[in-house]
Amino acid sequence: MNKPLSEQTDEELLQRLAEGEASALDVLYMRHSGRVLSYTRRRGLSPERCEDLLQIVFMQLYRKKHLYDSRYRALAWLYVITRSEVKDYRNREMKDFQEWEESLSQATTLSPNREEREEARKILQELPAREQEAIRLRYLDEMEYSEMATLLSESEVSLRQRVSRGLRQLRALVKKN
Amino acid sequence: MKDLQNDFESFVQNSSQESGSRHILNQVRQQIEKERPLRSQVITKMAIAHSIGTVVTLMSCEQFGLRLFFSGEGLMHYFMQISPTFCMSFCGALYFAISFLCARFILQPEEWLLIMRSRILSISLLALVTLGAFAIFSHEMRPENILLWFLGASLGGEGVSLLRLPHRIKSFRT
Repeated sequence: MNKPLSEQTDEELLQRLAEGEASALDVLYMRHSGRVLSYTRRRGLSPERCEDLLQIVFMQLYRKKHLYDSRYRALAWLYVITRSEVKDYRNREMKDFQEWEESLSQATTLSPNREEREEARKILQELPAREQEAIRLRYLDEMEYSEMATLLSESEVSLRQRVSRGLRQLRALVKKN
Repeated sequence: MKDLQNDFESFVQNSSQESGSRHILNQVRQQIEKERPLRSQVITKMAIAHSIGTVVTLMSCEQFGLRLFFSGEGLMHYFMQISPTFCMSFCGALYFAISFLCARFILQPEEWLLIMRSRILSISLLALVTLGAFAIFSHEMRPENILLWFLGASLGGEGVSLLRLPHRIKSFRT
């Protein structure tokens, strides 16, 4: 008979997770969320961002469960995921910031006339409703992801994905027009 | 390299007593729920995999007298040499092994897990549907043949699903 999940080693838990036992993730979270949090804090991220990353890391641990090789330590696997997610998170933030700066500089140097504003509104309307809403909240209403998550009752991760998808589509539309 | 080693060690030797909040864990659970594959999608993909398996098998080994694009006995000739009684089981096992192997390539890991959660039911159901389809086209279906074929198909499907595929194949779709 199998031992209860709480008595299993991290390696066994990852194995169980890969076999479809989703509650193994809860035990891994209880054991190692602190480790991930303090690692991200040591990298100088704010508490909100650390929590955001914690969610992303454990989501990735779940999504990549079938890739875990039981010959290696579970902590090494968690470390690899955490490290790579911290890096990706920083890159995403930098990209977001650059895009934001670009849009600001365009807004200050060239005050759009009525036709241009009308055109921008039309392009935004061509986006699917969900992406349109996310872009509006993020860039027009200047909301933080955490505020958007509360307002829309959705996770920050999925909202970030939606915004970045919307920006990609916007870029394509602008090129097309 | 040494920096990476030190970084890993500092990650392992974490002395902090804090842990993540329940709220984050709940959000992770909700996200997992949202990402669960749809049954209809899994069934469609499994049907595609089984169709590919059917074409490949019928091109090399006849099933209840049905074959595609070849004459003669095909692989059945060799199965008959191993055991004339169980040759129908070998045919069924080959057929389902090919189908389930295709499914492992086509289905995402999460979708494959859904099939594996009700493995016996999935294999039996697929075997029964396949037998039903064969019954429409074939006139060589006898109860003892059907039973032996069903046994072989079940073992073939079960064998592939229990097989531990190498890491590279598992990550093929990710």
